[in-house]
Amino acid sequence: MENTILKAEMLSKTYSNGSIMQHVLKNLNIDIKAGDFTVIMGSSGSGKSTLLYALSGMDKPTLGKIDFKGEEISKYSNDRLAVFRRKHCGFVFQQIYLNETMSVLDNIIISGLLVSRDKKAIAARAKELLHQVGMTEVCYQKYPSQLSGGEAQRVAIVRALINAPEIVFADEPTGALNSTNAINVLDVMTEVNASGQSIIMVTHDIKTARRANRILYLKDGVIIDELKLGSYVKDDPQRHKILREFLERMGW
Amino acid sequence: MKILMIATNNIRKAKVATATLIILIAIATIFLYVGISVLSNLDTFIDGKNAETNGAHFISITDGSHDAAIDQIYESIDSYASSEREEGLMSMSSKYQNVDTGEEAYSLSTLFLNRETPRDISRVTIIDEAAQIPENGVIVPYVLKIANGYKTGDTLKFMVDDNTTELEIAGFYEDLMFASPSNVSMYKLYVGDKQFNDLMNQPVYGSKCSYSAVITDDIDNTEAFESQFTKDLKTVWPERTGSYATLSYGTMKIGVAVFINIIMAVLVAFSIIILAIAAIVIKFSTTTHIENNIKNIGALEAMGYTSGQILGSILVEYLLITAVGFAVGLGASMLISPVITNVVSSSIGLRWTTGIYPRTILISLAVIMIAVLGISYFSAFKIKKITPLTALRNGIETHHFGKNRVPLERTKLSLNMAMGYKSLIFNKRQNLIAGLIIMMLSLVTVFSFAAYYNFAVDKSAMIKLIGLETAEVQVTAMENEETIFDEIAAMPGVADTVKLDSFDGVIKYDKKECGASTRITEDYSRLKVDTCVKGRMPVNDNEIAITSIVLNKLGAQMGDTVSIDYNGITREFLVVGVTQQFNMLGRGAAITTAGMKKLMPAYQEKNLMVYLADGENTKSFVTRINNQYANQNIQTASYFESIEMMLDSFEASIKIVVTGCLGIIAVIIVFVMFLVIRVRILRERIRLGVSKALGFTANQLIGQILISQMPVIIGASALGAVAGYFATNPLLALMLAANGILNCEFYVDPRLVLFTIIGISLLGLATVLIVANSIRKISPCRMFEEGVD
Amino acid sequence: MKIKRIIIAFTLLLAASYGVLFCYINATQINAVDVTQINSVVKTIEKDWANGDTEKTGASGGMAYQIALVTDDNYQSLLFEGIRNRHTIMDLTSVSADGQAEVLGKVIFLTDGSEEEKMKNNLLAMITVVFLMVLILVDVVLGMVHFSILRPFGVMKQFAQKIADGDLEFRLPMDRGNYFGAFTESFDLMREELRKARQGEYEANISKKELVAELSHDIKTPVATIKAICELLTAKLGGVKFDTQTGSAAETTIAESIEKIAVIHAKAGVIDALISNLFHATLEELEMLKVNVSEQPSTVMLKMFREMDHFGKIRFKNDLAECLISCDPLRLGQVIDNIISNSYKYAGTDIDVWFDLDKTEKYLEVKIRDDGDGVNPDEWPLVCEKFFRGSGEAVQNTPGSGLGLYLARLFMEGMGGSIRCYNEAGFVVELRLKVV
Repeated sequence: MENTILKAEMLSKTYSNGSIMQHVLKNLNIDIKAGDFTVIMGSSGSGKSTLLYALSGMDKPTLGKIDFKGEEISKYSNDRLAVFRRKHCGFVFQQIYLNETMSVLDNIIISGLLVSRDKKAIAARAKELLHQVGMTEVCYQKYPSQLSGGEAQRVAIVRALINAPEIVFADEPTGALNSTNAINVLDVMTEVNASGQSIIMVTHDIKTARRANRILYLKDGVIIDELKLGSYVKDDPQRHKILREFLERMGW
Repeated sequence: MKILMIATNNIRKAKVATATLIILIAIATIFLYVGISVLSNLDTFIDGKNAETNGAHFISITDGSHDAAIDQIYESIDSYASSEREEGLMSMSSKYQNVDTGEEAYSLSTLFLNRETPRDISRVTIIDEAAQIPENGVIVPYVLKIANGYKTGDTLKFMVDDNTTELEIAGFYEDLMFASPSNVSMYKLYVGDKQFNDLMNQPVYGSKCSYSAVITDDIDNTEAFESQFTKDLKTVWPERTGSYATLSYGTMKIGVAVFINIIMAVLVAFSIIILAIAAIVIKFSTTTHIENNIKNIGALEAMGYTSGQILGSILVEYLLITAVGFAVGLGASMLISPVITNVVSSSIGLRWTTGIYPRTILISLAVIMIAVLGISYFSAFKIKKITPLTALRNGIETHHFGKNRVPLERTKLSLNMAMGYKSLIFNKRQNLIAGLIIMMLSLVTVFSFAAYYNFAVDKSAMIKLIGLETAEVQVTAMENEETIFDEIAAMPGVADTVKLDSFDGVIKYDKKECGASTRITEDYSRLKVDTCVKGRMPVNDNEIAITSIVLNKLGAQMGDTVSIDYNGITREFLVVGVTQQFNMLGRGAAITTAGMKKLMPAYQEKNLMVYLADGENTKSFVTRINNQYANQNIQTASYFESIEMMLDSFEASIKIVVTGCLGIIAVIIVFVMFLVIRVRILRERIRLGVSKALGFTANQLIGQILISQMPVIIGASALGAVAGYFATNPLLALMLAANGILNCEFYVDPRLVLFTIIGISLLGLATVLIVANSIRKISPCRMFEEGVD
Repeated sequence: MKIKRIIIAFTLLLAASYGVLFCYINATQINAVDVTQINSVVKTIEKDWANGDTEKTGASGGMAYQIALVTDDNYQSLLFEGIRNRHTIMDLTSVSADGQAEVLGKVIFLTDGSEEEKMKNNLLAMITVVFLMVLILVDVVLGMVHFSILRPFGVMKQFAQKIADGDLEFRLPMDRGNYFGAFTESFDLMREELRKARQGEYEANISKKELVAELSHDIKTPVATIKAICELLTAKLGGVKFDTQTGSAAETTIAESIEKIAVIHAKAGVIDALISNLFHATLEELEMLKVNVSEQPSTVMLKMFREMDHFGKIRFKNDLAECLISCDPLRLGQVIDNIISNSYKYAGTDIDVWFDLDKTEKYLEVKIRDDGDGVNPDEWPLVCEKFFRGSGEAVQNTPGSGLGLYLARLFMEGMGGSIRCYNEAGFVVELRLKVV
């Protein structure tokens, strides 16, 4: 039996606007196993991002509980959640959101400093990770606006990995990139996953979804079905077909 | 009106900024309107008041020995029109106490006139006249009603030495010449026939005098009349054989209006400061508005609105706000007009009426409109540069190629310190503006504190500014002066004596001439108050020191040679120094006794300044002198006390101004910090959200804002306060330059500087903390959802 | 922007150096003589002279002087020599016993004339510095213009060439102070924006169709009006027909008109019927006790119980499982209200509440139990019937309508749930709510 690290039970998220309530997530039950590359798919407004943020402890669920390695994080205070996130979660955003006022290296180091005080070790790890994602030393002191979208996103991935989190959460990491850059970034993520890193990713791009070994399909706040794929093999036509059929069934 | 629609929509969205702007503009309007309306109407008002009672243009009070000669001189002067002469009672060392208001007795000279004498010049129109004027009824100046709270029916004790007469106030009169004791330290009182004769028959109360009032053809040149008169009089009246005093309308008018002019100028200055703050608010809110609505602006432009139209909508927005604010302010100033009436009346001693002045309204409206629209045009001008494409792309693209000043890899700073420092550098322009404002305010704070300290707590610097000696007692002897003065100097309880005299001299240079109250003493280094600001005081008999006002009027400089004309003798003097003084409207000069002897070989000083030893009672000393020399022709007065009384009247006003200043400064600091932090949090919403997502706690983020903001606040307030420490005196001198003041020596307590820095920093800290607290409400993911999908 | 700054800096620098120069030259006083000092010296000499202890030459207050007496033989020559050397010359007077001033001679102050020379040199140095500064500034500005404008412009030219050749992949290298970087991005943006615009148009069409569909619902009102008018017309024309002569042309026209109106009426009736059918179900629902089912957090029930807990007798035996349930909060509140009120009325004991979430069957069970006598087992199925009242003593002695549990069942069924009543050491009501 694989090791469950994140577990959501009867998870609901409701946004109230005056008397009007909008239930974005409805009684969801999810298990995330260590080493999983989980993709959450679904049409616009199905609650994908909300689910991602609720799972990552960025937002508190309205109902239900979230269990991270036996800790019920859904009961944490905001500040405790922040401390939880810095240790256990990494984030990659569609808009990348690197701090424009800081160099590439500083962007990564500030995240590292939240957990450790050993600047040298952090810098060394940052450089190593940057090297792994194919960023050369020239980039270290560049500013985010001097990078291409793909480069910036790879830096963001390094930022997410710097504290060796249990799970990396990615919200449409390729959404704002052109196809070459997107493949580049996805390759990095696949590689990271192959080395045992759990990833939860939201996307509505089939090419991106193909990388996952587990696909959850969300509709109107409910997981209507899930598909298990084996670990990713490059250019596997069968894999693509299964995925396509699954999505067609879901009304993609 | 599509533009109007956009404008009103903008107003509705930014309620807080709109409300603050309206309030600011309303306050600016009140100050500006009141200031300008009083400043511009005071002159005509005073002239009108004077014309109502056919007020005198020139007054001379003499001992009556040369009446005929004086009348001849009057008639010999071209602008002379008519004159009246009557008998009066002059009491130099009189004291007053209003029994009903419970005030303490105070000394002030008096001129009694007979109410029942028919007169055409300076007619007495009685305000609040008693139904039946009692026998001891007295008509007193209007200023006593408005400033001191006297009422008809009050009992006024009139005391000379140990003699007391009770008078009953039967009404008030207005007369510019004797409007306020801060101008001419003498009351002119009207009593009934019987009372008048009673007083005249008791020589202890004073001496008979001859009071004559003159009307001239030209009310604007009464000073010329006065100098001509004084000059002519000297030919028939040998110096020092009797006393006379003259007052001219022009001098009195300036004197009466000087204080209210200062107050109103301060009001106008304040309104300009407030307008400056409004400008900052507009700048900030326009920038925020553009940044927050850049997509809407882009959409509007894409729809076909020109950027000019959008700019227009912002202008219309501020136009509406200004119109409302101005209307509110105007209404408020109408509402507070009784207060204004009171302040102005008590300051000038005449019944001021606040009216509606359409021209002033237009001027203030124009000033405010131009200021507001100008600044909003310039701060919104950026819109012109926004193309729909860049706007839709969420803002004008900014590239940062700056040098990385704090590489986290190597810095020794802690994480929060480093982050705070980074954003301090990043927001440098905004920090610069905020810093400049705080610096200015901190400077003004130190200035206000220093002004208060020197006006209210330790007055010595102020007294020096006025240019008076700090002697407690002044003795004037008409005969045997040398023996008397030597005796007084040897008296127990006397610390020091200096013979210091003065006369009204006329100084000439290069065909120009100017009157100056010229002081005479043997050795200027013996005076306790040094009024010299440039060069030195005269030492040799051909040297003179003159105030800058007189020098400017003459067009002379240090090193030039001026001449003094005295009883037909003209002597040249070399200007060796520049002095300053506040009294006598800044017109003064100083020569040595030897110099005076060149003008008048038989000259002897007749005036002695007596400095008492510590702990010596001034009052008992004056009584002692009076008793000892009862049969000699001498006059003794408590000199310093009367100066202090004059200063006390300033103290209250200074207190109000300082308190007001400090209050407004506090409000501005809170306001500026509020805006700066609000705008920053709005602008950095996404960065803050991402930081929270990455695991920064709200406290860490607030800490970073504090670290990035506090150095600016502390640094700016320290810089400003230190600048205030050094700039207070030059600034004050600049403000008083019109009064001939070149140099001030106000004491600025270093503790006040420290207190200012700490106070402003704490205020800033509290504001930043409170505003930055809204970071807690930022949820790390709501904003992403807005952006995505 | 940068150029503007350079120009401003340039102007400021020039203005500043001009100001410095101006002030320097202005402040330089040629042959400035300290009159005050001279006066003092002369006065001292005069005083000393009267005491008779003065040399004919000497220095006082830092000034060298020479005295030429009227009685001296070379008085004139000394005087003219002094004038030629631009020396300062003062009268030396004494006051005689009768107060008359008497001129004894002149005091000549010896000044040196090298000042003009010094000033000339200073001026020359200053002007040289200023010219050099201007030269350097102009060179710097020209250099900057070259590097920041002319060079990038050349790159731009190449770029345009590439674009013209159809090479759209060519990126314009951006660097500090590049004025043209924004153009490249704008081109790609234009294509992006066009695509977006087309997408928007498509979506607008869909929503328009939906709008049409909705509008069709509103047709009912005008159709009714048409029918009414048809009837009115038939009646009116019928009246006219009655009055006109039979067989006349008018009569036929009217008869035809009536027929046509009848057709319109009939067709309108058809439309009306169609639309009526459409709304039928809705209309029916309107007359019923409506249950508005929505998705609600299960936690709303806690509030309902708490509101009913007037006597502090309700005890939750376990935690409520948080989940979303289908219910009408208003109706569910009424159900709980009825059950708890019954318990208060008939049992008056403590009330225990259990929550149980069945994840597989997807329902949330709420078990409410009191310690009362309960209901006769025969009557269990009947308690939820309309107007049924139990036979127990407590029930018979208490006034009631027998509607409470009937409505509860109605509402529960309306919410897709169920209600069940039985005894289990007291009366038990078991509610099942559908979990979303």
